[in-house]
Amino acid sequence: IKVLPINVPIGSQINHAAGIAYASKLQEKNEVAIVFIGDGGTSHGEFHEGMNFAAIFDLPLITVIQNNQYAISTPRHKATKTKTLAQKAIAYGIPGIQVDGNDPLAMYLAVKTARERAEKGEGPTLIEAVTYRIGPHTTSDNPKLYREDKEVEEWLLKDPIKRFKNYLIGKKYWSEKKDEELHEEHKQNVLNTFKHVEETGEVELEEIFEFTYDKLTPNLKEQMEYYQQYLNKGDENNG
Amino acid sequence: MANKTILQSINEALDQAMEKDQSVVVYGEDVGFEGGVFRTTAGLQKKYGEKRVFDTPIAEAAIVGSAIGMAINGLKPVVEMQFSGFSLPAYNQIVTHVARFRNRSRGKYHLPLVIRMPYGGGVKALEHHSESLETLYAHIPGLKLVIPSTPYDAKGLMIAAINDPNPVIFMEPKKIYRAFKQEVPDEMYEVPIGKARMVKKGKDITIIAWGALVREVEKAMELLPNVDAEIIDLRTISPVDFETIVNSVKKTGRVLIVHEAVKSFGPAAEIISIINEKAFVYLEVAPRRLTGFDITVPLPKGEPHFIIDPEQIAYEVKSIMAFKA
Repeated sequence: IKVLPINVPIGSQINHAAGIAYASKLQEKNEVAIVFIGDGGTSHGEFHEGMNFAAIFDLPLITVIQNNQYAISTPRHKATKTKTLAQKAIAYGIPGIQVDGNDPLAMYLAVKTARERAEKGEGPTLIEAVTYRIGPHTTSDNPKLYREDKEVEEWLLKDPIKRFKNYLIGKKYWSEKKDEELHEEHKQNVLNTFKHVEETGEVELEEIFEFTYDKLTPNLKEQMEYYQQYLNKGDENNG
Repeated sequence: MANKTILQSINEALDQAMEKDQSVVVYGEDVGFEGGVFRTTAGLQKKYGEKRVFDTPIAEAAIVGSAIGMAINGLKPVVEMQFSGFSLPAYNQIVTHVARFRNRSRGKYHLPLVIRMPYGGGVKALEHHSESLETLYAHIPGLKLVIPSTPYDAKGLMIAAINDPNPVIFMEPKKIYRAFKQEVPDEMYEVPIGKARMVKKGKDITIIAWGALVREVEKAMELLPNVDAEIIDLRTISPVDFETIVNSVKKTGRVLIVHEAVKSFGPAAEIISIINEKAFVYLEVAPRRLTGFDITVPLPKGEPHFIIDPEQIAYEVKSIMAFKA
């Protein structure tokens, strides 16, 4: 499986995914590409370009819209006039399905169906996963400015982790004890990773240069060496 | 007069321009209700309503493209690109239309619009949030590119940009949005576009910078009390104030240009060319530049290597001063 780095420029990833799917198809690799985008991202021009591209070539692509209701402060209803995001599929002539994104089994079924369709060469599928962003967009975002606490509390009741846990315990596949242990394990893992990263100092100078090209160009080599020379001079002055 | 940050000064400029001129409209991603991710436009929607201050979908081409239409049809849009790194989806509109409408219509249509964008590094951000893309805009005929470095200039340049009949790209040094305050007049005033600011007169060396780096240059010179530097804050990258640069270099014979944008084909290359063309015989030593490396701005753990600090500027100045032909 190829997992690409997070794509920051909104919407541009759909075209990459379409290209990956095209390459799979051309090389008869029997692969399916899956790409994720937020509700806000569907307003971007590249969303349209990528979806249209994937549709006309019947590419093996699944596009999942994580509709968490907000693009930073902008609510979904202010970003599009359509009733659903899934219905945008109509414009591309492909199936679009709206799913309870907080129901893992429903999501599983939707993706499985889309995957089978892609594998049969029938083209892409658009899945809208309806969910909610409980926390802020980033550490500099303050959601209290643009939404009511009550809304958040209502969505917390639909927390997919709690819902799925209850379902599994009800089916006797899982227990509170196991769940607590697993949570603790994950929590420690996250905290340890966080601590490790926090304690790691600056990266080496070479590291910020080395992936610009396959080989360091003469220009970059000169810039790096000059800076290194400056750093060494600094040591002499202090010493 | 009151003490204000750069951010507050820009907010005040927008506020007063909207108050005075009904045709000024302000919009962009999260710009209206929330007042922008940096809160630069905070309070404007409440004061002037959702028709004149509004949120758009995440669609930079739509933001700039619609601003073109509005400007043609009687409005003065001041639009925001949330970060300069995200102005690129609008780059097509900016280069192919914003910059060319006056020429294409033989002067019949002109675009009195301002495109604001926070720029620059040093804020420990993720990818695409730290770029210095001056060259991408300064290279395009028909655009003006303005970058304030103080609260006073931020207000005066913003008002001048809104009043300017030409499209203006207004880059805001986000690192120093709230870094310091300065006395800013309450009334509206313009700081002329196309005119550099003489930060400090001097005779030994000319140092040219803009945005967040102007203060770093000032701090650097505190480390070198024996060097009498002339510090120029360029303020407008395009059209460049070559007169101020050339006059200064003729006097000092030495020049250092400091910018965070990457080195190759960057703004310093153009400035040095101007100096070579117009003041070559006055130079005591080859013009020098201290710039960002030719790389993507690193993520926080690598960013300190990239960011230019006063010690590094002082090191360069010392090296230039020590040169003997």
